[in-house]
Amino acid sequence: MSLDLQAIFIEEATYLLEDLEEAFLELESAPDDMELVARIFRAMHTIKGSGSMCSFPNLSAFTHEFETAFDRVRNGDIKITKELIEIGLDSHGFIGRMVKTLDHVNPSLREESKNILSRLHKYSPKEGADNPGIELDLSAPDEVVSLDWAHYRIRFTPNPGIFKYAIDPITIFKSLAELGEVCNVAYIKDIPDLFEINEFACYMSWEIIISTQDSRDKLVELFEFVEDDCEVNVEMINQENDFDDDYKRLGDILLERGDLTKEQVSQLFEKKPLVGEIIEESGLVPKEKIDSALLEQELVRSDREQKKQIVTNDSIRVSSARLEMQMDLVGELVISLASLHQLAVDRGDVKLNAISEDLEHLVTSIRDNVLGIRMLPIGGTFSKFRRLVRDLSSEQGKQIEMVTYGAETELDKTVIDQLSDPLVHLIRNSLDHGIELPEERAANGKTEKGFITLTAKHSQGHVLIEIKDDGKGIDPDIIWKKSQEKSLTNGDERPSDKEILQYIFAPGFSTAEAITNISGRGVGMDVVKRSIESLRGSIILESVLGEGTTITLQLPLTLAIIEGLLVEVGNESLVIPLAMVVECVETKKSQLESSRKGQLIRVRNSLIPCLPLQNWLGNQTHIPENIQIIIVNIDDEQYGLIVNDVIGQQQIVIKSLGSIYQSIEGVSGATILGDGAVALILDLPQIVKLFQVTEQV
Amino acid sequence: MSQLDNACKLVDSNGVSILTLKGKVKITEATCLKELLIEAVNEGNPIRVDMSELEDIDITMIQLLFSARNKAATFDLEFNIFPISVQTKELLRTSGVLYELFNPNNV
Repeated sequence: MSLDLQAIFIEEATYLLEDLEEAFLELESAPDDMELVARIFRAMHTIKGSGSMCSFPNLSAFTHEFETAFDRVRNGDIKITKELIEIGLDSHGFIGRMVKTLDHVNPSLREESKNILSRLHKYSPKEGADNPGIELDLSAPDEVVSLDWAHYRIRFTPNPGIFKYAIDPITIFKSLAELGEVCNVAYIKDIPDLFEINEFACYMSWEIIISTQDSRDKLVELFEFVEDDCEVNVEMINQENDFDDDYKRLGDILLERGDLTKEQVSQLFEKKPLVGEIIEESGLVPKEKIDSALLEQELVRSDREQKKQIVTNDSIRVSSARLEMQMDLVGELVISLASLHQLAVDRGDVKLNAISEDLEHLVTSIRDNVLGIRMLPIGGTFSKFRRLVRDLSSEQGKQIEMVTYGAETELDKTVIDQLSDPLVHLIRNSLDHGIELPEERAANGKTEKGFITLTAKHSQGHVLIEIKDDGKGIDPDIIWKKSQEKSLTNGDERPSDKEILQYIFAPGFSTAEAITNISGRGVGMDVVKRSIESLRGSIILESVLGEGTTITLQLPLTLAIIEGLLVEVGNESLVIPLAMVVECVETKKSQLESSRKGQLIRVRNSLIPCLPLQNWLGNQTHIPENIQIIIVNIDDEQYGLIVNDVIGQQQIVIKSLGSIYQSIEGVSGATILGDGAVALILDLPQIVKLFQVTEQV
Repeated sequence: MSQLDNACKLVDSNGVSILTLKGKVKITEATCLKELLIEAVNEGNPIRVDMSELEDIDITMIQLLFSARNKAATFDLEFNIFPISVQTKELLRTSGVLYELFNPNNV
């Protein structure tokens, strides 16, 4: 069985396990749903069948027991119980671990399988019998149960007269090749001179290394019909399941084979480090024997490496570090291209410009391709939350179902990695503060079961993730009262409900009456908001008292390269993330309207507050009469950024700022322009906070 | 130049002894092959073994090739094997001699 086939099975099993967990969790709320039962049965059946085919016999035997129980459910013999679902979820974890160990049953897994199968016993067809109907041999030692790949060394020395019996060793070698991967080295040194050779005598012998899942007996069987006419020695050279250690050194292999004695190895060691050349120079071992030993060493090492990769990697077999490096290189390529483009423009060189444009086309393709490799569906993160919701809701005595939409929506791996914690916090908040206890819901005319809906979708170059619950919603009066108590407000004048809700994101804010292990320590929502903003995202909270709360996260697709709008403010070049830009308006400073809160621009009957970026840079006196206003959308509100000029749209490779500059408010990073100059990338939500919309032009 | 049977044929081509092996060359052809190889060595010309149409071999044939190659080396004669059919190459690999046969340093 090839290692590739094993890898395919692991990939398939991983996918099926995700489906299985989801189905078990759904089954909990719909125990009579026979479609779900059939789905679980099918997943188990596929794991069993493929496992058996791909040499995972223990896994196959285990899933067989489970499949049998679910077959009874399918036939209506037994009903789905909470216990059966618990057993199912435990089995899910066990199968995952078996896949990772490549079907090797270590002592702890053996205990785990015993425990699960004994619980499953009462649902098996042989209920009441002493034998729980488990065919998996759990009492056997690891070495017997495990059918890992093993390496064997075969020394085959036929008698000179073997050809008389019409035996051709090539036939045996062909049969060996059917059992696994074979490396064969022939010893030819005994073949005589052409004038003296007896063409009907055999002078050759062989040393064969085979990597196989078949037993030693099976290998010996192949030589049975020649055993009287040859010397055959079959020995296992490597069957460790722990393949972290390096394989034997060359000297050890030759010592083990009997080609060198201990004394000879020690003597060679005294001279200099033991390597093939030194041994060959010594003349103690013929070259072909050294070659064979080196081959054995290489084969086992490469096999171990391959196994390691199968266990540790999923379908993306590229390390994140490599992807990061690739992304960095693409970033440098984009910067170099910008320099080339700048040069072509400066020189007015048409040909160079054409080349630069061709290159831009290619670089954009490479960039999109690399970014595409880093994109992963968010479904993997969503499915983790299903278990979280299930476990925590039962802990709190609540009935909550989590529904997800758009699991296939893709996001940059870096964004997904950093999104998990904020999402956990938001879902825990919905669980703890949002969804009511069943009796409270019933009293308010709601269904006893509450719903948390997670939705992901693409929208205008962003990904929107919505966390919605149908709980009690947030009471603005309580928030206002708490905000005043905690001195978070600026005055006694009560703002709008929408503005009041924003206090939830203030540091130290919490309305939970009891601190639970779920939420309510008041260190959450401000951290969540900061985390989302650090991802260049934004967070919008909407709540209707008695009906529920919806939190929408707006996230960029990637953090590495963005499309940016390059603008000029004073003598500085600044970058505004293009995804936040609504439109650009050319106007005159004198045409702006004034209000109590600052200058406003009228755009199609709407008055939009203006933020003069010149003030932020300390260039207030240099605001020209002719200005450009970039209308941007931040947290569902529109603002106009006053700039001197718009340079244009371009790909922006985001470079992080050094620690000295990280404290500068309103800046999220920097980029290098085509002429080598540095442009700062604006952190717009922070810019809005800094202005507080009170600046005058 | 000789042609002992259809499977093995030795010809002289511009001062090179070309031994062509076709179809199956196994123990039944071993004696013929040995005689042709001795003849080729005795000619004193560079030797080339053409295996492009060779379909099946056994160990007797492989041993004779090694033996001839070594003998040619003692007479300072060139001994080359080419072209070679895919299936023959695979059989040589299976027999563990491909590297040995084609590595000149092993002579």
